[in-house]
Amino acid sequence: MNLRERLTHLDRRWLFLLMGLALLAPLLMPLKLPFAQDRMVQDIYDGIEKIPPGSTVLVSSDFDPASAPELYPFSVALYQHLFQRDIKVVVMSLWPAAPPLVTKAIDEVKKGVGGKPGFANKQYGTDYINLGFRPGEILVIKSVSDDIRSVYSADTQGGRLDSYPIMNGVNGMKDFAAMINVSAGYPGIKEWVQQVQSRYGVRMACATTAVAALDYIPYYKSGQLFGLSAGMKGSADYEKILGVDGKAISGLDTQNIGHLLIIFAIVLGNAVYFLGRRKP
Amino acid sequence: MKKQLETAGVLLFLAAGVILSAKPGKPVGGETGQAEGPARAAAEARPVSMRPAEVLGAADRWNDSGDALRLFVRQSGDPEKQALGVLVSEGGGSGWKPAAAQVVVHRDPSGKSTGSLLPETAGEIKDQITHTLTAQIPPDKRGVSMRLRAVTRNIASNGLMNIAALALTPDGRVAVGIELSRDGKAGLIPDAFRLDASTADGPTPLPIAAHLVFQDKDKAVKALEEEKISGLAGDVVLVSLQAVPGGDKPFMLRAGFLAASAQARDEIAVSGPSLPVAAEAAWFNGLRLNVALLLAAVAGLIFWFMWQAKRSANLYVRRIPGIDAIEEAIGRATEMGRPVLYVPGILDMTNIQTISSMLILGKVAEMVAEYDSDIVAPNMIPFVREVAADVVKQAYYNAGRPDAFKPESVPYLSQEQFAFTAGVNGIMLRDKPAANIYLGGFYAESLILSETGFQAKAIQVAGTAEVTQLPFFIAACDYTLIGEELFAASAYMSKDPRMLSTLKAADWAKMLFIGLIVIGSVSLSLGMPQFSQFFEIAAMK
Amino acid sequence: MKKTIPLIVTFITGVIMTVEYFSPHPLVQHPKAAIEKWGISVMSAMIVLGTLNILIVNLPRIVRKERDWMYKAIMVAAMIATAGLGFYEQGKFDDKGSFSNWMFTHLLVPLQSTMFALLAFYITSAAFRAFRARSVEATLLLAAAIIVMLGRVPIGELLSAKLTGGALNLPDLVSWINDVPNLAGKRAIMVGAALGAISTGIRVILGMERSYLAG
Repeated sequence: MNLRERLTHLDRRWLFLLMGLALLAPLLMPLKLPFAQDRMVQDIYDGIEKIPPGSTVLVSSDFDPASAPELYPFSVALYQHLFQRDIKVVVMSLWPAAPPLVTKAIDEVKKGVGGKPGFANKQYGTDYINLGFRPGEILVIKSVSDDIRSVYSADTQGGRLDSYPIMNGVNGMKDFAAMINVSAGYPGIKEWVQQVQSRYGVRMACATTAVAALDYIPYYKSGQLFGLSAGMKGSADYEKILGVDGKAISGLDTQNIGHLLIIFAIVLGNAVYFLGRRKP
Repeated sequence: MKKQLETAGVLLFLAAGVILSAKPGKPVGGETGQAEGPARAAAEARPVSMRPAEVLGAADRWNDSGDALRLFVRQSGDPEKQALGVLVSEGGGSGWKPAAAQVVVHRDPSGKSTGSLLPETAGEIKDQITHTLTAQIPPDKRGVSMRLRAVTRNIASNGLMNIAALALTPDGRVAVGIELSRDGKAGLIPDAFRLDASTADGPTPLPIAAHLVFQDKDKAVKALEEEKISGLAGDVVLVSLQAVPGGDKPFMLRAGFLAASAQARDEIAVSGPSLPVAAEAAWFNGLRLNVALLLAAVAGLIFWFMWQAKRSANLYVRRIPGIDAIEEAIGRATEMGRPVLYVPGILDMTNIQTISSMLILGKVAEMVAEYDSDIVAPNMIPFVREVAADVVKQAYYNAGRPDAFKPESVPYLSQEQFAFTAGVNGIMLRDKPAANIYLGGFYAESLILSETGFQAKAIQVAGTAEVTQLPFFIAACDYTLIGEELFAASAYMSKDPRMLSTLKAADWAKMLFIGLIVIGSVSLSLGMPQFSQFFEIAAMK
Repeated sequence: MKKTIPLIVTFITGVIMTVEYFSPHPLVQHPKAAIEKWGISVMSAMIVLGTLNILIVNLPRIVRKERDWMYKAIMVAAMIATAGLGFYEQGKFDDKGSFSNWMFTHLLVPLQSTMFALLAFYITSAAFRAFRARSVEATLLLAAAIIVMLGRVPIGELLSAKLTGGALNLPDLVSWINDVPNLAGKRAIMVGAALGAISTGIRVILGMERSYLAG
């Protein structure tokens, strides 16, 4: 069996092994290649910098563990930034598996991430609150915007919203200085923009997965989103701006090598194809 | 000119409309302005109801006498019925005037005064009623720099009414507010006036200069839309109010500007109350006329071709290889004595892709039943599973083999996306179906399914309208139905001329759209934006 | 009769939901809101049927010890355990001490991540066997894919800057590919799909398509 035949009948598990190694290597030996900043992420940062300290921001955390590698680092960086600015954070979720990820991210930030000091002084219920998940998708978005208490009578701890100082005077979308959506799909950015941004004119920014980001760039271009973070690269950009040495920056190495390996697989596949064609 | 405008104090107001008068009656409460002409009599004579009206344009500079700016509104329908207006008054170069404007209600069928309109709307006005409100500016509030610029087209929705207030505030220090009263007495301040005053940064003003949030305690009206419109020469805040249905009692409105210093109640100027206004539901949202026309055109084509198909059975429809491949795949599965796997996507029954998938499932299951083969159709949504089970059952019945239907061939796996994916992969690897058909809405699982299917050496046909997933299916499957082909499949497989005619109609509709796109591009390039503007979808609900 | 009534219901519902977009009148909006509410209720109730279906399909196979019965037993046990714990702990799955939270962190998170991560491996094998320069179009697609993949990661940026001396910025090229040819193709597919959806909708509303109705 010559090389061509061997390659034609290559067991794809060899490719899997190669990919596994390629993804593992940078995690063990980070390269930390420099990268250029994405304008859309810089805009998220700038937008949040303009929010006066003491304001309240709504974060809708709409993703699950599957997309956590791309979006969890963004969440961490986001809470880091909001806490740094002394902005109060109200978090809700349209995805059932999201609330524990919210708690985890905020706890991480409170302890201190990526070489940053922690925020041990941030109090649950005063500086931030996790309202949790409610089923109903678009209906939840609509109702929360008009009257939060019509959907959330209690938070994830089971306490009444009125018992938390942070919810004092916070009734609907008009009481938030901005809305930030971390979204991995449906329901997510499109629904928030259509139901809330266009109706209430609220300042809104989003983070989403790399594959979905293309669909939302028009919203950014039209000014409906003041910023947009796409996938792990976006999260890494945000970490870089904040000076946090986080998971996305090291994750980017993995993406680097991963993309190169896929390109290698394409080239190899084509080489086999052309070698095969030459032979009658 | 610019300097003059900048130093000029302006006051703008906002009006409440007037319109359609079904029942005679007295207006409620005091009207502070002087009215002239027949319209005034009409307006005063009965409670005024509002219908969608279109703001055509506003003067972008005040007139020579320096006391009023007018904004013209046209209301569709009966010219006897009135529209609403917004007026403004200013102090020219000489500072704020203590009593800025007088209310005028007048009707001007001849189209007089159109000279002060924005150029593109000038001349279109046939019927106008302007309604000005009085405003007072306390002397100590003079000197706040603010400019009124223009408004855009706007309309009521949910039947009711819609009012636009606008202010251009270069220094970002002023908000515009609207208040209302049930009894016409002045001084009702709405619950919430909020200022999101951002200061202007350099030459470009920041997005929202003033931000109004308005809420009425007795729920007569609520602020619905706030929209920022750029590109007029600055940013304008547009506020729309929606009256809550069922409020049969008329109410009135006042408008005012507030200083930004703001504990918010620092009024600069507040108008007198408007004429009473009551809401009335509209039957048609004129802002969606463009969508209605296009839908009518597409539906018209569909009905036309259906009618054609009835007259002559001679209907040519192009071949769609992906759909032919479904039949081949079922045939091959039968030859090999292995089942056909049918995955209807991961979206709920509310999605048209799932509906289309169910229609195709009917045809596929019928073929499977005729060939005496087996089908497995796992589902992620319980609702879809119930429909799918019925569809397959009916297909077996149609094929004359109702006894061969096994309910467990249409299982529900899990509502968790990747648990479902793992379940389907398990079926592929254990039951080794010879044909895998994926039709419907798919997301991240598309490649995981189709690569596993490839590994299991099945013939694979996929189809989805999810654009982001198409590349994965195209790379990993033998045939892929792209977007519209998914929707065409059930009609194509039925071979019923009436059904096929709808495919032909969709192709012609595509020609229509291509034509519209070409005309739009050309007219835009020639500097005539009206054509493409007509097709802009209004963002408002 | 068994078919006529569903067809009438379909027709009326379809017409109301279409007209609703154009008419803000309460006589249209109220029925529409009611239909939406019924829809949500029906969908929520369906989860019970789904759970029953899992039991009906799998329990007999487990009892009969059919092929692969162990997997099915594990699934049914996991389902009952998760639901049971959820009821017992009253849905407090955000509480760190709760067993539901433990299951979330230590079972669901790794399982979901694993399934999603499979994509990386499958993309490699799909790239190897399917992405071939068979025709001019395929070659174009291939070239675009490679450019986009490189342009999306730092190494592509570095390479393009180094190799062309800054003359070519790969991320800019990627933006152009995404914004122009890609978007154009995407919109074409979307227009086609929307028209297809309209004609499917009309066929269903008019009762021409009725294979979804069991007799």
